[in-house]
This record gives sequence, C-alpha cells and structure tokens, in this order.
Amino acid sequence: MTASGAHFQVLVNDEGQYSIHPARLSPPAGWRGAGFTGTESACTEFVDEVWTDMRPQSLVDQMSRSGK
Amino acid sequence: MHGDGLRHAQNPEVVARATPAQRRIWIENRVRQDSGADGAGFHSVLLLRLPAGLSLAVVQRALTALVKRHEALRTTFRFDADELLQVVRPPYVPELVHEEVEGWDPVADLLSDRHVEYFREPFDLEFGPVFRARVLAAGTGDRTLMLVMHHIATDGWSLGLLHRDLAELYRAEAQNLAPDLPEISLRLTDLAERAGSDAADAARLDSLAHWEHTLSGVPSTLELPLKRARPGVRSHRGDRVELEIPEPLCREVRRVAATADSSDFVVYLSALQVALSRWCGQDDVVVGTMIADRFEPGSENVVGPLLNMVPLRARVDESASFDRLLDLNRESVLESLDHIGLGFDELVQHLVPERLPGCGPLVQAVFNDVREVDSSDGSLLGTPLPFTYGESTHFDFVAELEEHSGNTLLALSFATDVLDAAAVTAFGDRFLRLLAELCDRPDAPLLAHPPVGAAERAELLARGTAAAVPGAPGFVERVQQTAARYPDRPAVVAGDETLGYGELLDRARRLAQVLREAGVGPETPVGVHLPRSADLVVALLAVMGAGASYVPLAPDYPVDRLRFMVRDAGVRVLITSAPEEEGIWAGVPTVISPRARCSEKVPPALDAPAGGSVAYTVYTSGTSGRPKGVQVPHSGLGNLVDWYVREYELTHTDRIPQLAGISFDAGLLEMAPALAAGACLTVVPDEVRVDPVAFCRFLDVSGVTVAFLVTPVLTAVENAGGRIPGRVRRIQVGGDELTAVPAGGSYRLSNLYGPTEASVVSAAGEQREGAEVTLGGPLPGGRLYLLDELLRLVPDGTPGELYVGGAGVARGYAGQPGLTASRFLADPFAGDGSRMYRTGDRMHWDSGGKLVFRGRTDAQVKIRGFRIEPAEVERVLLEAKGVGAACVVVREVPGAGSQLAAFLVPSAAADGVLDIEEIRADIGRLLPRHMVPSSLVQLSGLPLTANGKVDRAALARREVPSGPEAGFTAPEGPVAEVLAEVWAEVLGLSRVSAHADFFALGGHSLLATQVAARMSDRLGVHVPLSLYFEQTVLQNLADDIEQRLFAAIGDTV
Repeated sequence: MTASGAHFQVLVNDEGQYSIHPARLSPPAGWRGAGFTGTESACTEFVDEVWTDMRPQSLVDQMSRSGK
Repeated sequence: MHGDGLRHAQNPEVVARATPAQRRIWIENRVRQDSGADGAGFHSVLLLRLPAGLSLAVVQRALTALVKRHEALRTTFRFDADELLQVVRPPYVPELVHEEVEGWDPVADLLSDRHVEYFREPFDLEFGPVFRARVLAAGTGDRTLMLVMHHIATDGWSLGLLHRDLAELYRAEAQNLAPDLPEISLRLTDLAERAGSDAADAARLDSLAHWEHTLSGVPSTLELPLKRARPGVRSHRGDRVELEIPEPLCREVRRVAATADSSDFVVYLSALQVALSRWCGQDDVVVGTMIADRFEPGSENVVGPLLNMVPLRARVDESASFDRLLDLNRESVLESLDHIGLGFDELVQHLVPERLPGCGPLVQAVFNDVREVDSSDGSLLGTPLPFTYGESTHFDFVAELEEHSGNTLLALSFATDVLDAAAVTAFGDRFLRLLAELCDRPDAPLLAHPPVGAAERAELLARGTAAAVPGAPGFVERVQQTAARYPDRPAVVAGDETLGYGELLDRARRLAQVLREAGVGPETPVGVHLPRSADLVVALLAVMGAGASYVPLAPDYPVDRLRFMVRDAGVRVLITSAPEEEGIWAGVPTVISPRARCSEKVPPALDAPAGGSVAYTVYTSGTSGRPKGVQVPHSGLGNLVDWYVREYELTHTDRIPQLAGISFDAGLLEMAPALAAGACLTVVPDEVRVDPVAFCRFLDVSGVTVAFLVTPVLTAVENAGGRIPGRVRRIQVGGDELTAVPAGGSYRLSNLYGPTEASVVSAAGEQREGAEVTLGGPLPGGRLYLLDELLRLVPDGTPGELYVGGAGVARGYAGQPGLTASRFLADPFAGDGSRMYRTGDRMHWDSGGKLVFRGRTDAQVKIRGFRIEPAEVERVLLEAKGVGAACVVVREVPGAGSQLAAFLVPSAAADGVLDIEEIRADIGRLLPRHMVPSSLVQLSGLPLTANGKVDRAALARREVPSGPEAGFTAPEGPVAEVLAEVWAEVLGLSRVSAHADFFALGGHSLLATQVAARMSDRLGVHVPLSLYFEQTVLQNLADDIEQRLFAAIGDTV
C-alpha cells in the first residue's frame, strides 16, 4: 500500500456518487460519510459493492420521469 | 591606496595553518572574485555615530589599541606548499582619516554614497590590511566612524566585541587608565594548531560518523521552486527582501520557546522548515545555519571568524504537531553543537561527493540568527547604525534574523540566478502567517495550518477557475442547427466522396431510427467499428442523436482488445462495415451496417440527449494493465465543443483535417467542433498520415485552415523539415508534451492539455515563439487545482498534482465504481458536492499565471537514491545539438539496478546523424551525473502507441548498448590531457578518466584551488576558479577551459 497507516473514508454526495477521501480530512461541503473507513483497497472494495448504478441521481430521476 | 598600510614594529610575524573557517572564507572569496561577483559581499562593517565632543585623537589611540588587542585585525593569508597559512603581523598604528563628505545631510539621509563607496573598497588578503577605519563627517558637524573589515577577520559576535572593546579602550585612553577588559587567553593560531592534533582527529571521526548517520538518505537538493533553470556557473548575484516581525509575534515566539524549554531560534528555525517544506513540496528538508564555535573557555573574547555551517535536517511530518518538531529540533541543534568542530567543507567532502552544476552541495537554504550579540546600549560610542548593502550570495536562499533599534527583521536574501523578489516576498508573507498560526496552536497537527493564506488561496482558486458559458447548446442540437443553415456545404470530404450537411443529417436521422428500432436509447452503449470515413461521422451523430452513447472500436486494434471492450462496455448493438468478422462480434445480438435502412417513418429531428447521459465511452490504458472505459457525459462534450468553436473562431468556411482514429479522444476533438461550426472535415488518407512531408502537401492541397495535431505529429513535421502551409491560421496540439514552440510558423499555436477523464481538454493556452511552453489556463466551466498529498492548495509556483473539477469531469470508469471513487475525489473547494479528477500530472503556475507541466507523479524515478523526472532530462536533451525528439526511460539492468536510457531522433538540420559523445558532453554540463543517461541511443523515429503517444514501455524493453561509465576513457584534446595530469598529481592517482568527477575522486576545495593555480601556470591563461567548482567532470571542464582559451586568443588577435 501507500504510506503506512494511510487511512481512508468513503464519502457520498446527493447524486449518489461515491468517493474515497483521506480519513483525517473532514468531508467537503456537499459530501457525507458513507459509513466506511479503512485502507484504500478496502474502501475500493466497499464502493464496488454499494455503488451499483453509476448514473447520477438527477439523471435517474429525469429518465424515470420521461418513462425511459 | 589610502595610506593605512601595515607599519611594522619590531615584533616578528607569527605563521600558522589557517583555521577551517578561515580556509572556507578564503576559498569562497577567491571563487567569488574569479566569477566577477561583488567582493563587498564579504565585507563587514561597524558603523557608529560619534557623539559630539568625542576626541578623534583619542579614537585614533583606541583604534591602535584595538588592533594590538585583536590579532585577526592584522592577520593576512598566504598560500604555501599546498597549505593556506595565516600570518599574524605585528601591531601597527592604523591611520585614522577624517573626511568631510560634501552635500551629505544626515537629517535627510542616514548615510551618504561615500559610506557605501568606502565600504566597497577591496581588501587584499595576502598583503593586508583586512581592516580599516575612517571618520566620515557631514558639513553639519555630524560624524560617523566606520570600521570595515573582511569576513575572514570577523563574525557577528566579533562585531559586538569590537564595539565593546573600542568603547572601553576609548574610555581608558581618555582617562589615561588601564582598560577594564578581559584578557585574551586564546588565539586563532592556537585553534588552528589544535585542529591538527590526534585528539582533534578522533573528534573529527566521531563527528563524521554523527553527520553520516544524521544525513543518511537525505534528498540531494532542496527543491526550491526555481524561477529560472540553474546556470552552469553561478553568478553569486543576490537580492534581498525584508520583513518586519511584529513585536507581539516576537513575544509569542519567545513564549512558545519558553514553554518548549527551547530558544526562540529553534522556534523560528522550525517554522521556517515547515514553510520551506511546503514551498518545496518536500517533507525532508535541510537548512544550514552558521553557528558560532565559541564553546571553548576564552573564545568568547576572540575576534575572528569562529563560525561554522551546520546542516539541520528536519523530517516534516504533517500529522505531528509543531511542539513535536520543536522537540526534535532542540535535540538536533544540541547534538550538532557537539560536532561543530568538523568544518562544513570536510563534512561535504566526505558525505556529498556528487555536485549539482550551479548549486552548492547539501545546503541550498540557510537560516542565521544575526541579532546583535551585545547591543551596548548607553555605550560611550553610541549604538551601531544599520548598514545594508546589495546582496551577493553563496546559497539559493538565506533567511537572517536581524534586530535594528528594537525591531526584529527577517531578511531574505536569494540568488537572482534562480529566484525572484516576487516569489521570495510571497514566501515571506506565508512564513509570517504560518509562524503566527503555529505559535497560536503549537499542539495541533501541522496539517491544521494550511500552506497558503486566505488571500493567496483566493488568488489561486480564481486563477484556476473560469466561469461557465450559460445556455450552451448540446452537440447534437448544434449540428442540427448548422445542417439546417448550410445544407449544401460539405461536411465531410473523404477521398472522392463528399458528404453535404443536409445529407449527413438525413443519413444520421435514418440510422438513429434503425438504432431505436433495435432498442437503443439513453445510456445504451453502441459499438462503432468503422475506419476514418464519412460513414464514421454519420454513425457517431446517429448514435448520439438516438440519445445513446458510442463505444469506439478502431478497426486497427488487436482482436483481443476489441473483444474485451465489447464485453466490458456491455455492447449489445454494433455498427460496422465488416459484419463478417464474427470472431469479434460473437455474442453481440445486433450488428448494423452504417448504411442500414429503417422500416418505420423517420422522425424529423434527432433527440437532444440529457446533459447527464453518457455521450461516449473511450478506453484508455490502465496502470493495472486492464483498460478502463471512461464515460463522458453530453454536458462535458457540449462544453468542450462550445469552447473550441469560440476559442479557435471556427466557421463554415474552415477546413479541418481528420487524422486521429476514434479510439483516441483526439479524434472527437477534430470532428465534433468542425461539425458544430459547419466546417468541412477532410479525412487524411492513411499513407499521408505517416509521411510528414506528404502530410504538409495534403494540408496545402486540401485547403486546411485549422488543425488539431497530436504533438508528436507536429514534432515529426518539424524534424522532417516540413512546412505548414500559410493558409493554416491556427494549430492546436495536445496528447503529449510540447517541449518547444517551433520557430518561424505563420500560424498561431495553442497547446491543449487534458485527460480523457475530464472531457478531452482541461487547459489550453496560446504559445509564443521563444517563450516557455505552458498549458495555459482553464476552460469555461473548468476548475483546476494544484494540490499536495493532503489535497491542499500548494503555494504559488510550487509544483503540485493537478486536479480537474467543474464542467468537464467524466462520470467515471464503466463498471468500475471502486476505481472511479479512488480517482474522482470529492472537490474540497467547489462546495457543491461535485467531484474532481486526480490527473497524476505534476505542474506549477508560472509567474504569468499559466500552468507548466513538470512530469508524471508516477514517472518520477529514483536512481541511486536521487529523484529524477525523465521529462526534465528530455528537455535538456532537446537543447543538445541536432536532437529533434528525445525520450528518456528507466531500464532495469540485471546486476546494475535502474539505469536511464535516452532515445534520440535527429532533427531535420542534423541530416540524420547525431554526435552521441558530443551530446553526452553537452548534457554533462547541465545535468548532475546521476541524471545523465547511461545510454544514449539514436533512432530514426520514436515508436508510438495506437493512440499516438510515445510508447515508453516499448523503449524500456529495447536492447541498448551498455554505457561507457564502466571503463577508462582517455581524455580528449590537449587541455584535457594537461588537466588529467594535474588532477593525477594533486590527487595522487596514476591516471584519470575523461568521465571522472573531481570531488568523487576525493578532491576538495583547497585542492581545486591548487588545480586552478597549476592550470594557470601551464596554460598561461587565467581560468576562473569558480569553473573548477561548477564543472567537476574532467572532459567537460577541459572543454570549457579550451573554449575560454580560444576566446582569449580571439580577443588578442
């Protein structure tokens, strides 16, 4: 891995997009913790499981409104 | 000269070896003199305003007593039998000259020009004097006493001593009493003799071991964000800026120091190390400091240079607190005091044999505490007046803590060769802010204190951000509007075939309908497997016009790769003109011809896709080896097209070549803006594409006006001597590093930069011939940040990793959410929950606010512990004679570890031949040895990847002849032979190889001065001593000397 003890957290925004962020930094405005912290590879694995639809939420809403 | 020559009394001279400090100053002085630097940079002054009523006769007697008391004021230097000797001359009576300075009004000007003039008068270290005094008086009756001496006779502490002693001697002379001064019990000559004893030898070994341990693995240089490349030979010219440290802050510093059981020096030093660490983007920094070696009893009363340079190394851990750093530094300062006896020269000679040309070894930044040691308030002779003089510096950067009439100043001097006042001033501001923050919360982790303050942060963010253009139409809508306006104008010309805009739209509408009937809609990936052609343009427009996204499948790609992409992207519908290649398409249910006809009625318009839906998925190579499908939304594409058309003023009258295959997003950069503007795309035939000269002819014949070229294509055209036709008004390059702006082009050239992950282009800027290549600034709607590893903005000018936010950010990697989350980060600056892409490219902002590319963060390599940026070596190689293109890669050589290999392509002017040895010598002058590639290999062209980038992996695998480093190479030329002889003599070697490095062979500064002397004798020509320090490789040095010889002969003829 990278630096020893490098810790990361998983963040998510209102579009349902996930991002891996250094754990010692607080989430930027517009982001919240997704409830997972660990090494970068553990975070990647977590995201692989939870982020099943990569379309942004606004697009999902738009597409369901137009019935497609 | 001015009459105060040494008048000998009956006492004999005392001759002894010079002390290490005297030796260091003597050598530096010689080096500077020889390089033409201002010698006055080595002068010290004690300037006193004489109170009214003081007797000058008594002053004169006091000065005589002062010279008698302090041997350093009458010590000169002689070089004898390979040894620098100090010669203590007998006491003499210095002549005190009283000079009236005309036109000097002390009320208006503290000092006159005459003061500066007197200060500057040179000293002769061999014959003396090294000290002089003069009274400069104004017509008003105000009198100043000026004592000027050479650094070799004094130091900061000594100036305080001289002031104290002179005042006391005056008092004693005036009252005819014996002076009340401590006896001088220690002499500089004693110190020098002692340095040669057995005990001193043992201590020296102990100190060497200490420094070796302390400095193990230290970075070779402090990477100050240099404004200019280092010249091969330093000019020693300097400048300085001053900052006042407000008294409340000084108090805070003292309070923190007291709490940490340390000195305020350690607090200032630690804050400076943190500030430098952030300025240099380095967490391991060395700051040198001059420490007075006055620990021996009696030494506190000795006037003389008792200073030594001590390297103080700090590992700046951002998660640790300032308190922690203070602790570490207190320890390291204390430890270094135990080893101060080892001269800095000797330390460097043993531990840092390798020199960087134009850069002092080990220490580039210095911090000195030069606050008055003895302020002597209320002294009979008043307090010393401040005297500042233009700087001349031996280091890149020197910070000095000064105190003038109760005010604390931080004076920042810098070498103007590499830094400028604006950058240093900005650093000073940052330092003061940081110092205050650190003192305010010394227990917080360092990372709690950002590297830049609010004002700089706002400036950096403004520079990296450009406002979005509101209401820009999407790409598909724009093409429809254009087609309606210019139905009869040509959209695509491919060979004999011409497709008009009306027909293009018509065919695209029909093909879109075929796709819809096959179930294609928003978010459906449609494979497009077509060569560069009119059909391709129709297909792309049709796919996007059906609301879907295309997946480019270039026909020249390997079958396995195509199969992978089809599977990975989940392609269920495919457009191809080669449906028979079933091996590839097995498993794709719907295969459609670009000319397929639909069964139902064709809607009158194409769909206008939603901005958030995917426009295309382009595959790029992944570091893991698995290609990644980058999904770019319509909003990103629309923004790109809108900018490009506007920026390059594309209209329906333009003709634009289509060169790139669709698998590379550059292909899109050619097609999309052209179609949006109603311009004519001309497809360049394959056989023309690979022949630079034929390509130029094609541009001419087909009437091209604007072109996007991948950078290596423009380079190839230049190297082949091709001429871009005059009708081409603008050229955009991108996709690879542009290293220089081609000369004499009649077109305007722009450099584009951008990762696929940020919609092709993130930054762009026009280039000027002769100016440094930049990547310009952000596109409308774009946000560019240069960040450190903690996602903080780096200071202006400091290299950081580029992150791209805003309109261009792609959705991510198809089917790889985890990878997407690790490369597309939460944007800490936008505040709206948007993301930024981490590019992996290192850049800095130049003084004009443009981005300059520095290299890949992952391409940085380490060779023998030195951090190397291959791009930097490439830039130097490109300056060498005849080199048109260069690529430097790292090769793992069994048994020899990592080595650099350079592959070179001759320029058109070189006529196909490169003189590899000459190039090696050329770059040896500019690069340190560890950066000179072990092998230099000539190629007729650099191999390119399918995407038109230089194929570095292929080069790294290539067999290359082994380098010449291993064996002995005979020096070439008469000067080199003489030089080799002299080196062998002074180093005690039987022979010296052409590639040998003087300092690596065990040479040191004093030996270098001997080499210089012997060379001058044998060649009969004076060669500056500095050259021997800057060019340390035999053949390079010899070549430089030879050039100077020729120049000298030329002058006399």
